[in-house]
Amino acid sequence: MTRFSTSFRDERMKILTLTILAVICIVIEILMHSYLGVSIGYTHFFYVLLVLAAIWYQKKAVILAVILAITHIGVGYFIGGESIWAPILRGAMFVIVTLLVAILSEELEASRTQLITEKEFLLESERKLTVIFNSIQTGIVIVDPDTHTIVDANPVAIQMIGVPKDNVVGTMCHHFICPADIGKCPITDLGNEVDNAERVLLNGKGEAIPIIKTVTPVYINGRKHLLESFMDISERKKAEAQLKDANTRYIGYIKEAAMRLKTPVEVVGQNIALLEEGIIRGDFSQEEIVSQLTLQVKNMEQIQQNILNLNKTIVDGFGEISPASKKFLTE
Amino acid sequence: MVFSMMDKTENELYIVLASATGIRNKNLEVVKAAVEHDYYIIVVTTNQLTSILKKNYLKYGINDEKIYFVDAVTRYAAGSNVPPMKNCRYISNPGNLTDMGIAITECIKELEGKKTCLLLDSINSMLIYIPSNNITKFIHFVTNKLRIHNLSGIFLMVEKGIDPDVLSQLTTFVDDVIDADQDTQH
Repeated sequence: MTRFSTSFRDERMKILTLTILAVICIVIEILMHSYLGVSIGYTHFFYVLLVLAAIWYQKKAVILAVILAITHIGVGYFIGGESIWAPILRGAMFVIVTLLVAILSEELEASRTQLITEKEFLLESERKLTVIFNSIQTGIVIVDPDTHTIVDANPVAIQMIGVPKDNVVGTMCHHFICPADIGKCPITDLGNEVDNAERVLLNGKGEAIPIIKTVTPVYINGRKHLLESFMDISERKKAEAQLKDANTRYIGYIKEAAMRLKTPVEVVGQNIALLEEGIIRGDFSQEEIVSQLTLQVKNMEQIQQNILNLNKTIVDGFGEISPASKKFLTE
Repeated sequence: MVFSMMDKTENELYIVLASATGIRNKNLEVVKAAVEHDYYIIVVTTNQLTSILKKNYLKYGINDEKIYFVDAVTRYAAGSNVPPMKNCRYISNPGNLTDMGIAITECIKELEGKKTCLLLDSINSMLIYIPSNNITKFIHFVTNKLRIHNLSGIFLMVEKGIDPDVLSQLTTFVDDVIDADQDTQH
């Protein structure tokens, strides 16, 4: 059938067919009208030729219809025997029917062309979406909201989950992309929105991978699905933890510095003030004055050493510092 | 007076907070109150020389017969030639916690069976030589020792001179924290 249609669409086949039919029509016209004197009935066969011509060549077929109509009217006129209006009417019908079929054929052709264009557009869009789905650096998983099974997953999602795609698709989403209990789905059961929310993905080894996730309801093949897109934020989380750890350490250093510098300096200052008062009152011997002063000097030296030690600890824990600054802070 | 606590309880441990200017007087007040309540007192000094303390006690009318010293500063300031003193154990420097612990233990042993109170003056001056985490461990060691021997203990500290986190840790080792300047118990 397809082969038949294809061959019929072939241009040469069409012309041959129409030529044969045209010859048959003229032969019938001559035989039936001229020799047998029959002026009606046989003309129905002409419509086979005209309809085919109108389908294949649209309005150009009207020329053929006009030729046939003139032929038919001419033969009728020369033979006579009936009113001239009868062949004129039939000839007019040839033209009208051909024109109508031609118009319908043109519209059909236009629709067909439009459908082909749309189909090509859809195929192109689908190709683009497939390329994006497969190459985007974001994990995408499509979930059936009724069964909570994973319908599809892109390569990034599969890579993050760390399990072959065949073992992911068809599995309950709770196993991988959402550790919530069954019946407590934040989207379908609890009615929550998940928009750039920090969540956890469970990979094939059961490890929790921190992700940032957005869930969007989408319609695929007329059915509602959940499109879950997510990004691995392990590195960010690690950096945050390191920053927090560094902050904790630095706050620790600052506290230690305050305890080992600020108050001790006050204590030393107070000791020196009291020593001064004692010296004025003559409370202390020469030896005691020297010892007390020595102690306060040593205290101050130790406080200075504490500053250097704390600087060294901070500098060692802080990578981005020039050697010159390092030397200045620690020596 | 805050040191009426000597009347109320025995064998309890306190942190006493005082201002930087008032901490020296608090040493005198605590020692005076302890001596008046028939305590033997072990003064662990990391801030003042024993000779100066003794002078101050005498000036303040305190009989130093019952006072034992663990002195971490005299030899550190004046050198190892300092002559021995009765009821006084010298430590080479205030950062030597091992020797300080040994000296405290020896004093406790020497005063076994007697009503004794230990006074540590002060945590802040120790901080010049020792990191806070080591001080916390040392105070824990000393408080344990005192509790085992049913002794009293007072740890002098400059108010606002200690990080609240460290202070809350130290607080867990004692029975109460007393703000001596405001005469209130926390």
